Amino acid sequence: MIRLTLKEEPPLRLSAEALLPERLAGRSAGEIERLPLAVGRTGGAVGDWFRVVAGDTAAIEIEGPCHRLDRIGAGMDAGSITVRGDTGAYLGLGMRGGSIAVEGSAGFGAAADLRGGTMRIAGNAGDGLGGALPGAAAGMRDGTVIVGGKAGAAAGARLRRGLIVIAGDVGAGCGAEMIAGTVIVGGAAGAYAGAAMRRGSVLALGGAERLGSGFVDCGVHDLVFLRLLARHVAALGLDALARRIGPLRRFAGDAAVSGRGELLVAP
Amino acid sequence: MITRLTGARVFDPANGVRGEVRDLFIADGRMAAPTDRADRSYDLGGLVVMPGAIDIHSHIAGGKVNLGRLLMSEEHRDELVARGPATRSGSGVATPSIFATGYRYAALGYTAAFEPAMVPSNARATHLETADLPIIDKGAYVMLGNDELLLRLVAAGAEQERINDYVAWMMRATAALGVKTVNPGGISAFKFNARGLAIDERGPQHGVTPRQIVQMLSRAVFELGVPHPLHIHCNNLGVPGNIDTTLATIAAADGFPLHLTHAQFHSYGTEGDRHFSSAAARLAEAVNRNPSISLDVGQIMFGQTVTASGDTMAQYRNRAFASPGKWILMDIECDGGCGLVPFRYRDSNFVNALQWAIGLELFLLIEDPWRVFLTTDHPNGAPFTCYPHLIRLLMDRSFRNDCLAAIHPAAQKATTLGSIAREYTLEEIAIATRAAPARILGLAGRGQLGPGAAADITVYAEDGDRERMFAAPRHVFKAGVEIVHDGAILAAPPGATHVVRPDYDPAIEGVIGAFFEQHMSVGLGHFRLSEGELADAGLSLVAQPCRPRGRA
Ligand SMILES: [Zn+2]
Repeated sequence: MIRLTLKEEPPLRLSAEALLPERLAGRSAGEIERLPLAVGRTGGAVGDWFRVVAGDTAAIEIEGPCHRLDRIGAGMDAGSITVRGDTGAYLGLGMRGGSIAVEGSAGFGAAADLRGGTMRIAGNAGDGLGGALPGAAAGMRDGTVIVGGKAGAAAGARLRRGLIVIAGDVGAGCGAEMIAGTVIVGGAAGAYAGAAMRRGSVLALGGAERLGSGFVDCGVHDLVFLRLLARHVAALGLDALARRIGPLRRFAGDAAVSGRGELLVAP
Repeated sequence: MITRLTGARVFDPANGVRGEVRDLFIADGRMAAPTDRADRSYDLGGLVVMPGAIDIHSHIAGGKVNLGRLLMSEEHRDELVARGPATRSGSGVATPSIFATGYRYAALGYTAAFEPAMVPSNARATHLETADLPIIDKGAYVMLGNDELLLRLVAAGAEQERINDYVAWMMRATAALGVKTVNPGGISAFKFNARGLAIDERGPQHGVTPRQIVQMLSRAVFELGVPHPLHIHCNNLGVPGNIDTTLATIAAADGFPLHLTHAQFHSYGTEGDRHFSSAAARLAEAVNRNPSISLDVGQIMFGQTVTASGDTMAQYRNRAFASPGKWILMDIECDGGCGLVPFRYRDSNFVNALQWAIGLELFLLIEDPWRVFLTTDHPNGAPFTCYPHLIRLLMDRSFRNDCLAAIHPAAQKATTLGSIAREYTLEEIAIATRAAPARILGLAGRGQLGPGAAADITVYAEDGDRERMFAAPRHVFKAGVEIVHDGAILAAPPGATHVVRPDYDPAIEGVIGAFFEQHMSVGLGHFRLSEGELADAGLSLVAQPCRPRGRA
């Protein structure tokens, strides 16, 4: 285990993308302290901000007042990162493999452009969870994201593949412009869930506010797919949520695009 | 202060200097007569000196360029430029941010570049953006020929004098240096569901033909005395067989000067199994025969770029080839159109490979270097940063033939490029990139190094590899100040904005005012740029001479 303890709250955003397990594993504390780390527009080194305890495994633990640490685990391929607190923006941006666990909440754009791996956020996630970078055709392309609390607006926007599970409520536009993949919302989904979705499934187990006019009510169904999904969710350690996945009301849409997606809402 | 540059071989075609060793003198930002008193001296022995290069056609600012930057978001994430001691940070390749655009041009030895597609209602945004363009001089051509009022005037049978007044008013209102027409009549026709418009075909809304528009605009520009001929993007861009349209357009101008822009995209035949062939030889022959015709090539280079054009009709066709798969088309205030389609040219694609060869054929088959200009139609054919590579293709036959051997085999068979022996000389490069652009734009004291000319100078180290030579000038001077030294930007002073101010009969303002009142979203008073606001934005305007010419 490599332990990085933030000495004090940085006055500006701190871009933590250099702190990847595959880069730090096997290095001495001194070597890690000398790695470059930018704060705002100013260059600096890891040691300016962190106390480092080295270890030889590809597991990193970050602690301290971390909510201004952006891009933790960005581009990560393997290994694990545990954050004992909140994180800034773009947690796990473009991550391809490995795992990230956050004990607090994550800021804007967590799991944006995710390509693989597993992310667990115990608290809440900000806007743009598993979303697309500006101008990108697709958002998250694969992987698993589990949020214990709530998520902000546009969770799973342009999702292409993979699973996002949010135990609590989500803001507006969840699964907007979705291409494929699955989003499970344990709480209530905000307005216009699945707007302009092409394919894929959004489950709103606590109901959905204001559906777009491109969704057609197909009635309540006990779908085989949902039983398989429940089993998969249980295997992720989310038994309580898995038990709530049963017969749901299916709204097919969004007819404004190709209409092959679905919103599955508590009946 | 007097600066002396000694010992270099000087290429200054406008003054008949062809590589002779000369001393040059700079005083107060201008070239000066020889003197013994020099405060500072640069020993340039063994080096090559040319005037600063001028890009006659490059999409660097304004509405569609900004949409292009939004569309090409990947390159603005992936290609970042750090700030330097004298420079700001930036991003992008095909759609570089405005600061990066100026630094990159300067680092290539360019001291001026002209935005060729300023929609009238976007003039303010275009100029205010170029206020941030560092180092290089600039200017813009106003896009006319699909604007609602002009088409109405032509349809109503307005006399040539009224058209002249309208064109002059527009040029002054938008602070333009020239007039460009894009797919004349075609952008308007597209909005009324036409998907093509032949030169003598009446547009669906106004019943006006492209020929009428070309005739009236080319004549207006000539009679007003605007130095640069009508800058024309012909109808049917990219369509196999469009050479007939291009040749018909030359004929339509009735002997009035025309500048055919990105001519490569307008030089296609329909021969061969694939019904796509090079018609470069036919266009070159017509240009060689007509001294009133000039062109810039719009060379393509293989790789990723974005096509940015006012030609919504052509871009609507091209959207199927978007790579990455996203595109933008829009109408702008019934003034003109705008279409952006990202594109990746591939040497393994027959059409792209032949386009590459067609561009080079045009460069090599047109005999007069004063009438063929070196452009990639940045970013449509390739980013302007490809220019050193393009210069090597023109100057080095064996390199060219090596490149030719790597493209799609059927395209190799469909081009005569391999049999063309011509290699551009340094003097011809100096003409096509310096002296000739200054002359055809009417830029007094630019593109040359005679006494009194602006001291915009590029110094190269001789190198048999012309790409390496032109990619990294040893020194670049702008208005007498060394701004680039061995690739490093030393300073980034603002360049000038070149305009012309043709006269018009004020009565035309009543006609334009009434149209604005009824149809436009801004009033005439807000539409027109004032010189005060341009000066406040930091632009320094240089008015180029404009002398009305009688009827030809
Ligand atoms: Zn162009």
